[in-house]
Amino acid sequence: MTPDRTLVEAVARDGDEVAFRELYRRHTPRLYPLVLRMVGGAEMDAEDVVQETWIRATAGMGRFRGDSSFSTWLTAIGLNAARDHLRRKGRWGTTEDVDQVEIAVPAAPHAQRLDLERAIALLPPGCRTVLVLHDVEGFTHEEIARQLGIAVGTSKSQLFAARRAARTLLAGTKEMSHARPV
Amino acid sequence: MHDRSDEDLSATEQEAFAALPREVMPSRLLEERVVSELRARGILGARRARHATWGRMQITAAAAAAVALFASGLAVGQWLGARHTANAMLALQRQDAANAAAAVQRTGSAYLSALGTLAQASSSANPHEVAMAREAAQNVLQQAANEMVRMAPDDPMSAQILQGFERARVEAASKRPEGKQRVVWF
Repeated sequence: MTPDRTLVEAVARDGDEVAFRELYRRHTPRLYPLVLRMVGGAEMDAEDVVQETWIRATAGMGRFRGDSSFSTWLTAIGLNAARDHLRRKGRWGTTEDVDQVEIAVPAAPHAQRLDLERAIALLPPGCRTVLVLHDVEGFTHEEIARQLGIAVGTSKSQLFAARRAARTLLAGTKEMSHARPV
Repeated sequence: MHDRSDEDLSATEQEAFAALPREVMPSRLLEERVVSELRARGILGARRARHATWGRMQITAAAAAAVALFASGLAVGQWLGARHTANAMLALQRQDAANAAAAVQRTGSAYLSALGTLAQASSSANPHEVAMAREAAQNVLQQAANEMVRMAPDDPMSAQILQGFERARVEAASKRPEGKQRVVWF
């Protein structure tokens, strides 16, 4: 298998479409579900973000030094693209705003428990992002803080709030409850 | 800050998170959309674009060569065609001249044959009809002399024939009462 670095160089140097398609097919299956969860399960939004991610990544491949893996580099671009997307839609506040927001937990339909995927999608974007990165993708709080430009403590707080809200959702509470992140 | 033990996921929760799909390939259309967008921005296909530029140059050169070849072919074709046409015309003219000569020879023979027949019958035939035949023969001979003069103005024989006809016409006109001239048309 051709190394990512070689493919990246081919794209950056020659605009090699074959190399690009190889990179795309190799890394998009990991990028897409992450982005999809970040945007709350909206497939069209996720596709827009994936496209924007690849456009930014391809335009910047000449600056890829290989200090980290291409996958990590691409994920960072994807996170920024997703955050920009949510910001444009008015669904991403500042870190402080997210910290103060009340998580409105909608009542689940009668006797129906939401699955985890749906529960994650219902979380506020900031909390949801931390939860996805930490519990789904396996990022550490330090990595999350670095990627999102927030404090490590903020990452931990948001994770706590996100888990509590998710648990509430998964418990199938009928009445609307509010979980305030700390 | 919360106690980490309070945040930890239970085994069931960990299993639930672990069961979430980590890899999902989006629609194939997205790949084409991305590639198309990158092409439109000139990020992808640069090498091909250079090749395409070179290709366009080659195509332009080939087109120019084709046009030149076509023009050359057209000129040669026209020249050949013109030459062929000229040859054909010449051949046709030659053919026409030969045919005309043959026709003159045939009609001349017929003319002489008819005059011979007329001469044989002139002694026994109706004098009026013989006179009309003679006048017709003279008119044909005169017209033939005219055509010979047109064809060869310096030909003395044709000129003398016409001069003879003119003298005869003048003499006849002086002997014949006015209003009695007869004309035979062909």
